Amino acid sequence: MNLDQYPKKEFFEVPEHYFDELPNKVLNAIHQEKKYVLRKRLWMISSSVAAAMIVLLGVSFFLTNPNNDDNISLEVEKVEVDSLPSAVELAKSEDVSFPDMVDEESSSVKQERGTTSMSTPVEKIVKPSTEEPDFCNLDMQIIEYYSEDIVSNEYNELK
Amino acid sequence: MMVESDEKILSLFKEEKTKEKAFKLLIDKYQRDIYYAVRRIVYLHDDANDVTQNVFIKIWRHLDGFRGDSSLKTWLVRICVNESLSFIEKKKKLLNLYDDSYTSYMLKTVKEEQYFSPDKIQHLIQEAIIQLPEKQRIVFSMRYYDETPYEEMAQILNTSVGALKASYHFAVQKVEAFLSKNSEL
Repeated sequence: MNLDQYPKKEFFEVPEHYFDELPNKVLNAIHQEKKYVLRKRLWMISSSVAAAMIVLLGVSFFLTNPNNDDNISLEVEKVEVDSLPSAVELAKSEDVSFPDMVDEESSSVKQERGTTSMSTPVEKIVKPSTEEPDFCNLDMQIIEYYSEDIVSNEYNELK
Repeated sequence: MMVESDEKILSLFKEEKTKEKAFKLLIDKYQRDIYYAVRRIVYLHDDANDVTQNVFIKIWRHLDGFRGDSSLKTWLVRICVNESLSFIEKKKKLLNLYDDSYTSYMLKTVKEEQYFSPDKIQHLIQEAIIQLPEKQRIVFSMRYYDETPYEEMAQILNTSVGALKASYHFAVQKVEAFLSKNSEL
């Protein structure tokens, strides 16, 4: 059987006036689409502005806050510099057996080297120790290194 | 109603002031082509109405990017085919229907739903078309009802003219075999 024998008719029907109304339906849908796009753009702009504001507020808070890291580090540096002269006073106020310490240092170095000669202050400082470092005494050693004579005089005066 | 040329519509669409007017002209010119291209794939009027509106929204969004590699009508029908096929896939998943059960569903729909021709011979032809594989069904409908040239179909369906001719040939054979068998009953 040949298909050409049959009349070619449109099988699909549409409601009455469908094609008269379709353009308006489509244009309404397009208007909704435009509104949606506009709302989406506005939302994106407002959220970007809000994000920028939050960043600006965060940065300005960080810069204006006196307790930020830069100020802290400056204070730490200041404390370190200021604390240097007070170490002498600290040594005065505490009961530090300075000559004993020097003697202990000298004898231990002597034992290690097996010599009886006087070791230099540098050798005393770099001596390896298994004990936990005593920073108060370390200060004293530094002071001794740089101003052994002065400290000895001060000690003698105190004595 | 005056029908504007595609060039005029496209140039008007590029201007923000005349964009909507151009789109109205495009709808007036192509609404029937678009609706029937969709309807031949999805079958039901309500589905075709939804898909047609989606197609027009897509056209509104992307017409600025139309490069003119093919004719405007070819470009529009290509959107119709893609939208219709993705609609059918979604519908199959929604109704939990697969190829055979979807064919049964379509046969039942064509008999029961409105907005189909009451002509018995046309119903018989449609029953034969529904039972074709999807690609052959689209090729047959485009060629038989719309008399779309093979070159244009090749651009729409992104396939070769030879493959389309073979597809149409097999589709015609199947439809004729179905009519021979069922018109005697």
